[in-house]
Amino acid sequence: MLYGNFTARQNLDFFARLGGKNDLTKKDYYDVMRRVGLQEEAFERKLKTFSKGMRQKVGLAIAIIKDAGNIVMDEPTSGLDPKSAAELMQILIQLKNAGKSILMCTHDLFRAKSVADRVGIMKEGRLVMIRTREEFLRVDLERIYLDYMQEAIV
Amino acid sequence: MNLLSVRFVIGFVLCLVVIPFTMIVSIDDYNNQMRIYHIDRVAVEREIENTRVYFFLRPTVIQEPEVLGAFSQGITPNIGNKVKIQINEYPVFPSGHSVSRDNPLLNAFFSLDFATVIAITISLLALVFSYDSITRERENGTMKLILTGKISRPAFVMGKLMGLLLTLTPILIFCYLLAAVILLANPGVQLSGPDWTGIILLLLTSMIYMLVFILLGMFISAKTAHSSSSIIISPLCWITFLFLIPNLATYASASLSKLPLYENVQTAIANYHKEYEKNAQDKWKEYHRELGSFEYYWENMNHDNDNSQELSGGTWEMTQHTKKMVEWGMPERLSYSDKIWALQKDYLDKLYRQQNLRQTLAWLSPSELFIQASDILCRTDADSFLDHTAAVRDYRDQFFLYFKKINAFSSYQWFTPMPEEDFRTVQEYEEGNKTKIDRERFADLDISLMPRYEERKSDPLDTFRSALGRLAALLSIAIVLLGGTMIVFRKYDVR
Repeated sequence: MLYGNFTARQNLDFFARLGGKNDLTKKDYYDVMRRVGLQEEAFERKLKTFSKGMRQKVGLAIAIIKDAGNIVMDEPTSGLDPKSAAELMQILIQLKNAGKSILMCTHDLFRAKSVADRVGIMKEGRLVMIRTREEFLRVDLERIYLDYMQEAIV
Repeated sequence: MNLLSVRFVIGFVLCLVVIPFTMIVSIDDYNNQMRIYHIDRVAVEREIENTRVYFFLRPTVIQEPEVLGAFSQGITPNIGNKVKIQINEYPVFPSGHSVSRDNPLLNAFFSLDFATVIAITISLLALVFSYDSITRERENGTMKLILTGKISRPAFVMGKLMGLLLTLTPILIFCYLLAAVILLANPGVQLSGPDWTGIILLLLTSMIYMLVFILLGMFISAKTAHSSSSIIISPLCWITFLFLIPNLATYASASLSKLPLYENVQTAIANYHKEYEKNAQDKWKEYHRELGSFEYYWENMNHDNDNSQELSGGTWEMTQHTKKMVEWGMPERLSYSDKIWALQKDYLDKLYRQQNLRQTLAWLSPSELFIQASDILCRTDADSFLDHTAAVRDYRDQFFLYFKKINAFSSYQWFTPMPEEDFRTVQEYEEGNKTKIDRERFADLDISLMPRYEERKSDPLDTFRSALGRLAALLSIAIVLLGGTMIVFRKYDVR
């Protein structure tokens, strides 16, 4: 996902510049990395020494520093320990509140329920169901999911 | 980041080892050639000074070794550098091998010149760096992230290209600097302004050549989804361009453009020589009858292989006879040499056509284009050589025109250094008054008006112009590859 030969800060710097942000200071990068919960000692370490969770955090930091309006995430919580996953969700909620749109796919129905405004179910590459927050809070999302999947088996 | 990678270090070290080695060998060769050249020049001058009859006045033209040959030797190792001006034939191929190491047995090891080393290493390095330039980004997933931003796909390709150029250009420039330092450190090598221009043009050509291979690697990378496939395709292309096409071109040109057996040409030439000899014998007898019978005997006769003679002693009648023979024979020989030249020219044209065909076929390979362009820039290509021999032939014409102008064919000095009045007639001989050879009275030849061969160094601008076609071809390959990469990459699946 990122350049292994670059340090965390260099990756951030590279993608921020590609995103058109040329006037960022070291402090900005450090702030963002602190915000996503990356440990301080890793800021100037090469990315190839990072664990998967740490890389996820850097990836998210990039999305934040680029001030991306739309964020697409593929299984952001996979490979993260529960604490990190909870932190990540907190950040996602912050981003959402800041007006960013986030599209993520996950197998974690529980987390999806806790943060999402809308939830869709995909089956064989097709979106088969979509529910808004008001709708899915009233129903058993897991039940619906299983129902849909069952059909496929029949 | 590339600058610290293992590939960069390996490439750098490779150049660091190979370049000095080839340059030192080439310069050593050049110094040797230069030394032999100077010795030969002195020998030729001395020979001319010691000549007392026009019969022996046959200057040898020695081609000066080309300094830039140290960069690209071209066809020079196959060809000699000495041409003796002869009356019976035009010079076609020079004699004397210009490359002579002290031990002829050592010649067996195959030496690469600078241009070949650049052609091999730079293309390899360019491919090593570029084969995964696109696939690796895909495999790392960074391409997805990059293309989420405002970066367009062509901009991505250009960015990759710039990065690769920035990585490889230092290696290339380093190679040239290293070569220049080795040249400058060598006291035997003197580089003139045009030579430096040539070297700079060579650097420019190498840059374009490098660009072609970087773009080739990128194109392959954009065509494939995995680094593992491009790593197979790239070396295949490399081998095809560097080894397969040049060899196939040589083979194909040999079978497409057939050469007549040189033995046949030689037989035809020998027939002309025989014809002349026969006529000469008839003439000899005819003049002999005309002058009345006398014994043909010279006290002193020096021969050489051009049928030239320096004669002294003998009767006055014999000098008359010889003078007549020369007056008849020399223009005759010149006209025979024209006939022989027609045969030789035909053969030479066929050789040249075959060579040209080979060069053109080899244009399929950028490496061949590069090597041909550097040969041209270093003035070691076949055209430069043929220009040189053509100039020598012009000089030969000039030289014999000079003989005609000074009436050398009808002068006694053509064959004898003795003054005419020293010869005694047959009658005087019978009276016991023989011709005495008095070396004190031998006259020296006045060669102050003799035309001298002047080597014309071609203008660097002209050589550049002849290399321009190849450069343009290389550049257009680069542009086509760049366009191809852009088009292929537009539909590249980033997943």
